[in-house]
Amino acid sequence: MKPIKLLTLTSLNYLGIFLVLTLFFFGIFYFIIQKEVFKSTDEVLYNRKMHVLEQFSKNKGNISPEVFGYTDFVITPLSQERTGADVYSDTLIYETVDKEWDEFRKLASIVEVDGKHYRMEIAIPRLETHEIVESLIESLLVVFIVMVVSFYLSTRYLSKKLWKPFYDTLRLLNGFEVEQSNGLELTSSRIEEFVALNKSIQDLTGRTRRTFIDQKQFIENASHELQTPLAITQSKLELFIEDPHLTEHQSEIIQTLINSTQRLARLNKTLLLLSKIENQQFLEKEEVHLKPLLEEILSNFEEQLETLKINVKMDFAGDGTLHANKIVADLLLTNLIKNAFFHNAPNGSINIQVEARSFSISNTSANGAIPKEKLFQRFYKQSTAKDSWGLGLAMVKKICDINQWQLSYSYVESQHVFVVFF
Amino acid sequence: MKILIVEDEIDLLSSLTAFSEKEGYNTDIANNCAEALERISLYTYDCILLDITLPDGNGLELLAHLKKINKTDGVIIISARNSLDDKIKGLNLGADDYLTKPFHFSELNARIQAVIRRKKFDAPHTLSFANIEIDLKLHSVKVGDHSVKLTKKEFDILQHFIANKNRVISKTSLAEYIWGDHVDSVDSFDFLFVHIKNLKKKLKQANATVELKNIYGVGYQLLDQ
Repeated sequence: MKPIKLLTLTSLNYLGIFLVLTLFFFGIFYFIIQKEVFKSTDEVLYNRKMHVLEQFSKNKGNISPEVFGYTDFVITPLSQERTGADVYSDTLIYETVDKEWDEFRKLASIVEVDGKHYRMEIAIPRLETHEIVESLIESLLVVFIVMVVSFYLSTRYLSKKLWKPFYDTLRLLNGFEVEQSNGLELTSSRIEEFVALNKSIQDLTGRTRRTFIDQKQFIENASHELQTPLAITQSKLELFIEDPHLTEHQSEIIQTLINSTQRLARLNKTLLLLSKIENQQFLEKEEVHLKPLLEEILSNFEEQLETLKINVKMDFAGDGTLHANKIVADLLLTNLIKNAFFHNAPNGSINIQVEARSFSISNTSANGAIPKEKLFQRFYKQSTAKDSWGLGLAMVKKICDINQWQLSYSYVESQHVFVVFF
Repeated sequence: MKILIVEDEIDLLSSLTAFSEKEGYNTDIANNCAEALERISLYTYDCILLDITLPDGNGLELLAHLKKINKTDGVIIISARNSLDDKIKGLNLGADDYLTKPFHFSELNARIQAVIRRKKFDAPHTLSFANIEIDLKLHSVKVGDHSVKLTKKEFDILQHFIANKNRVISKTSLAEYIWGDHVDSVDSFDFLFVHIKNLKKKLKQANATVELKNIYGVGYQLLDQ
């Protein structure tokens, strides 16, 4: 799910709350206004009834409407004696002028004048329901819109202001690189939460940086500690081997020891290199042109090329330029090309194709596909690789990961194909 | 030739001293910064082998000091740190070369000779052994009066042998000298063998009065016939 902006989410939530509140107030206002309307209409009806009754008593039962000057009441004599309370009710009366039913409030009561009983009904028009609803909707809609607009504008303004320290922190954190020489400098804020957040971030990045520096130092120290005894061993062995009194057999043993020491030294160097790449200690980047670099690397393999009679083909469809550290780019290509030679078959071929945003190195193979899950594992090697540690491809993968290049491997038509998209 | 070895690791120091004396250099030693400072202030050396991690300070300070007192002794930094920063810093401070531990004596020897040659005002750019003369500038080889055509690698190998004449050079160190970091393949000894075989053949054809001796299982040695 695509993440939503905090401001948008807040606004949407408030919009929902406003909507519910507005509906709630609409209900309440409707009932209040309806009650008020009925109350005042009923008062008018009651007054009218008392007035009619007074006139009626004065005129001794004369019910001619002319006496009153208004006609909104009907008095019907009752044949028998009855009593009853006043009844207020709503009624619809057909209006012939505009040909529609209008809402009226009606008072029905039984009155006694001069000992005779009459039924009196008075009806007057009242404010109609739809009029109440309409005016309510109109006014509440205005309130709603004003509320939403003012909330939106104020939130936008305030959020920008209030959340500024947060966004500042976020921006700085995004740009934070642990190997930078100085730590994270966060802007101060008046807001308690942000102060706490910044403090936590500063603590965390500080700790990360310290760990990084410790690790870097550890690697360097470990290297130092290992290289020195290796240097001593090697130097002693080299002095030893020049001793003229050595027998051939002894010399051979010493040579084996020199070889092993050499291997140890190189393994140590390779592991250090791998850690250095992992720790992103190769920082300076530049534009590295692939063509001269590839040619230079290939020149180191001329013996393999001649002995195995390998046909190397380079194809430049684009001017491939890497934005990378020179040493790292060299390591990447050297390892891939080294692999292409060492896992090749006699009379095989190597194809190097450079495009604008990618390059591929493919080679014929003496043995089948490499299982993908093991491909980039450290110390994994195919049985035929006699003298390697299986660190080359692990290094290739690491370099690609760190530079955010995509590395893919496939085995097509008995060829290993490595493609790097950069 | 006067050489100063600055190294705090006693075992390595003794190896280096033995090597240096065997090469016929007049050898002085220093265990720490203070001693080294005293020595470089008192004497002038053709070459100083300088370890930069010393118990009482950084070897780079010595470089700065040398510069301050206007001395132009040749300096080869020998460091266990294969760190680019140190390398750049060292070379910027006036070191002539930078060698990472562990190293081969044949390599060190070649570098010492190169530094000494460079420091000499009228340094010849030729090396000779028996009736072989190689021109380092033109990358050409002469046996007697006849020039011999060598491939780049054959030339490198011959140069390395002449720099280390009469010494046994192990196959490992020779392979590393030629291919550097690309050496980690078993094939390299076979390739080396081919190059040396070709070199031998060419030298023999030109009637060079040297013997490129194969020390079985160990390496090679260049001797004057």
